[in-house]
Amino acid sequence: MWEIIDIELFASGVRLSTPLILAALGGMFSERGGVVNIALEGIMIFGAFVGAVIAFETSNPWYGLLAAMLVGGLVAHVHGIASIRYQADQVVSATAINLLAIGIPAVLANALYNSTTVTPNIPLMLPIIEIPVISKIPYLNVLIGKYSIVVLFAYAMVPISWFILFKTSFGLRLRAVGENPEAADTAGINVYKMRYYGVWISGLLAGLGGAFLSIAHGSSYVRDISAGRGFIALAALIFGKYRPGLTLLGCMLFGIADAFQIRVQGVIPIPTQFVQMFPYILTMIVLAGLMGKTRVPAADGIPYAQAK
Amino acid sequence: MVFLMLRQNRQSMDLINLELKAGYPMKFLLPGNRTKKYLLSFLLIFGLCGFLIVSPVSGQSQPSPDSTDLSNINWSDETEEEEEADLTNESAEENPAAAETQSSDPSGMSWEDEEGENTGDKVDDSFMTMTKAEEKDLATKETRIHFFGFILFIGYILGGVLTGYFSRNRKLAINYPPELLILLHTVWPLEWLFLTFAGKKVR
Repeated sequence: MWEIIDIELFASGVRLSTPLILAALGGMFSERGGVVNIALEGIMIFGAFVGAVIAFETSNPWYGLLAAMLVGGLVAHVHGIASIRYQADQVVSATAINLLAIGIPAVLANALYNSTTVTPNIPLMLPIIEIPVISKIPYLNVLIGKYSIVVLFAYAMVPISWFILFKTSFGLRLRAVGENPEAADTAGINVYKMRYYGVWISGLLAGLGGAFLSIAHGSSYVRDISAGRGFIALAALIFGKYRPGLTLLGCMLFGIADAFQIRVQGVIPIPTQFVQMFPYILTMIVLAGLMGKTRVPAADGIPYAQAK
Repeated sequence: MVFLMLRQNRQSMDLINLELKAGYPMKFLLPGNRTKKYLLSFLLIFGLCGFLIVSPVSGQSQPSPDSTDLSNINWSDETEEEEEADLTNESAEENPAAAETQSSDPSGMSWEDEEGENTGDKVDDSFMTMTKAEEKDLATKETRIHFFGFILFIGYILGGVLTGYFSRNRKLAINYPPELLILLHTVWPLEWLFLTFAGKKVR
């Protein structure tokens, strides 16, 4: 039992936490701007599907990656139009997108490849990058030596997101809009525009997270590929108190839990179905009380109507 | 402090005046209860429709529960078939030479087809054995695909960020609805066309 807890467990945890990090950082931009985005799950599915289809059709995974990002942004924009411009209930609007994500990829996959559940395998996957010096150091080479470029991009996005949110005027405006939109509006900030930006960035990152699953981690789109990772990313975001560093820790915790349940299957005499529950049960335990008090942005989930 | 507040207030008033002067191009997008309800209902119904359409389609590939139901099978036909099979066996026992010619006479077989199948296997084998030069060629091709793909990916993202930064003080970003701006950022090469006639600096 204890032999499965080694450095490779952490390495696969790092890999498995990548889509969570991307989606959670995206969710952070949206929620900091005052828009609840539980559509991350649906956006990830759209990203995974479009990424796999474009990568297969063009035989180039990079085009798939880019297309997944753009489609993620556009799907998030639909959520933005419903919840920002028309002030619809943000949870209902996001649920509608999650429902769409169950149906549309399956219908399109059936139309394109005569299968509602899978797309064909992509001919070329994203390259694995070896970090020059680290890949020669024992132990470290296993932990951070060889990763797909999306993994490196996701981890690089953590300090970049922190910088954008806390050190730039864009971040200050976005946070102001999420805390007190009336005051921000009085100061001359376009509340709608800032909120649209937040939701759009969340879509771009979640779409990329979905594409990672179908282009870099796997080699095709499979139905329900995200397996609730969008919701787990939201849990990690709340666990991380809407801060990039802590959110990264939350994502890694869930990623390692996921890697653990994969490695433990068949090793201990517990039915596989129970073992597969582990990351989800951990999510519930963490959300139920381990994380302490989280301060949600004051105007999060509250639609803003500009005074006429 | 008061001076600062007054200044901020004046700035925001200036902005409002500017917007009024420019006119709001997409008035139909302004919030209204009825429109909101219609949009939400449409999204929900559309999503549910998609879900309902997919369910029976995906069911086609799975075995239906009817397939395990044995009540519809006509067992009498099956017994007849079995009887026929028994009869052939019996005839074979009676006349073994005739039965042998029926079952193992190779004269009726098309040997060309079989040869064709063999050549098919050979083609597959040749695919497996790739020369070093071909392998190198394939690796170069892959590297080229990754290189140009990476350049396009990074170039598109950076181009989008730079376009967003460049257009932030322009008429396009200030006077037009943000929905349009986000759409244009998504396809930013198109945004440069718009910037040619809405590229005037506003602040």
